[in-house]
Amino acid sequence: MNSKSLINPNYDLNPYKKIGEKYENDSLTYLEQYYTKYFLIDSNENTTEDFYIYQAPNKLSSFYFLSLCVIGLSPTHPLLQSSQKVKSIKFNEKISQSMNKKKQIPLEIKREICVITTESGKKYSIKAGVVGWVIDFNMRLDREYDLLQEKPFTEGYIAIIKPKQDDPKKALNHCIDEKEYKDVRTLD
Amino acid sequence: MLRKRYWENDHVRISDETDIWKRIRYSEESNEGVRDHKCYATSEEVLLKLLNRIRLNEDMVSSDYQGEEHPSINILLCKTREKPICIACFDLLYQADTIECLWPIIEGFNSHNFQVKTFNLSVSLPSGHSRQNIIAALEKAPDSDFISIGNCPPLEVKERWKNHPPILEHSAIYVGGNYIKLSRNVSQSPWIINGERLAETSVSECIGEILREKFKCDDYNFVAAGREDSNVRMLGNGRPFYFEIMNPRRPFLSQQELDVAQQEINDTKKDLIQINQLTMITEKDLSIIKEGEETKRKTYSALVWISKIVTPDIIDKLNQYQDKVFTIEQQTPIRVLQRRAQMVRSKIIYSMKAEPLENHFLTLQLRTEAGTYIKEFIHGDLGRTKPNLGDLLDCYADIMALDVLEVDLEWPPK
Repeated sequence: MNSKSLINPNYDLNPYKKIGEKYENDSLTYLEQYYTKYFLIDSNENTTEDFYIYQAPNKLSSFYFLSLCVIGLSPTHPLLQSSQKVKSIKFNEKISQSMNKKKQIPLEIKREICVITTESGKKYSIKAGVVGWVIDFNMRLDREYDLLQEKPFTEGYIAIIKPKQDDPKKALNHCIDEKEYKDVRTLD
Repeated sequence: MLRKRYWENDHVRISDETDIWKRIRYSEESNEGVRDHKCYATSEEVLLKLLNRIRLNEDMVSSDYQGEEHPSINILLCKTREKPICIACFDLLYQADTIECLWPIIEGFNSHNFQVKTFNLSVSLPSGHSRQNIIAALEKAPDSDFISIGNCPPLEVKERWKNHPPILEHSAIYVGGNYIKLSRNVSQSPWIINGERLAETSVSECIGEILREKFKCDDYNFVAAGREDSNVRMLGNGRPFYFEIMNPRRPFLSQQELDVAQQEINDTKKDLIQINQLTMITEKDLSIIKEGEETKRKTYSALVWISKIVTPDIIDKLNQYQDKVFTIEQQTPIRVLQRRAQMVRSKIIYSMKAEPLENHFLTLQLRTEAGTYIKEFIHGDLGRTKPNLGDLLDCYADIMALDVLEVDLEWPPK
């Protein structure tokens, strides 16, 4: 086959060594290449039902592009704490049906987009988190419930929302960044 | 081979036949043939008279005219030699083209400080008198009627034709070749957002500006067989492209001159881009490029980081796909989701080959179907591409650098 005769170019690894080290410490840091992590703290102080919101693309180029937000469960969310197993994940039907259609109205921050029920019967409501339109639900969660708890920060994301606010810096004003989040929730 | 421009045709000569008609028409003695009116008053006077008549609804029948005629035919008969009446509006609109009518309007514009570019006055007929109906009515009218009120053949043209300088424009020509992109900071076409340039320069400008000089053209249009991100290099023989050169003042360059232009581009843009096989192409060849974007396979080389240490086992696991084809399902990547519709694309990976580098790094060479998102295959795009490299190796993977090694398209055509 022709491709066998093509030789790979030599790559100088020096520019990438630093990043490689960062990755070795925490496999999930690769996400920083593509997203800026924000966290949404639940205003109700009794619970720790927090969410992460990944804003794509990452900070460097987000000045120029309309950003999309990926919503998912943050490390302190109860669903990731105890051993409650997920029984069902139901995406809001009305939103599902009007997705990507012209008449879709933007959702408020507190609007429920998904309901997760555990085997013990407890229901958790997932809020939109950003004022905007839902572009896509993670349909893999429809069948693969384990994904939500096993890989909550990557493949187990819940939804992708296009923020109404054009300016990516302002769209997530109501959220806090990773550092602040760790302080507030007193994590490592 | 230059076509004759339309103004180069011989000016149409009015034949001598018209003279015969002139004699019959304007003959005061003749009782046959065309009727004529003895009044040679100027159009305005005639018109004012007519309007008065119409307004007062006077009977126009007089002893000079015979038979039953449509009232409007009388109006037509009041023609002058110099200015035949308009058979559509009977010159009624002509009254607008007079100083009496226009002056108040012009004064109004001036006093309101309006700037008027053109002033059009027109009348649209009620639907019963549509163009179709008029055509149908005219077709029913016998030739003799037409001859009696019209000119057949048309009157001799008295005014000399005016000669405006023609606007000459050469039709577009096409020149094609392949480009190699060596820089990771050059986009394919100018990338400017909010007035700010995001990439150092672009492939189209690097080549196009020099072509602009050589062809002395108004503008150019750059088309390539697919595109790569600005941080992705294009290596190997390069990516096929063509330029549409608009209105070249020097449309015919020899292959030798094109070779000189190619050398100039390669010398001045040394570390950015290189081009090869720059040559003139025909319009028929253009579709090959579009086809190239949509159907042709591409070969890539990627520098990959994985969360496991690279061992011979891992390399072997990947190399089993050297001759084994597999399919991946890609949902629209999140980084393009804002401009493209959400959908699942099935893409074929024809071949994959891995080579170890130190530690967590390896290089991957892939040959894939057109339209495959390579970056997403490697990092998985949050699971939206399945299976992804991480799945095959049961770890996390990320792409450090990407290069296109080959675009499987023969170009320029022989």
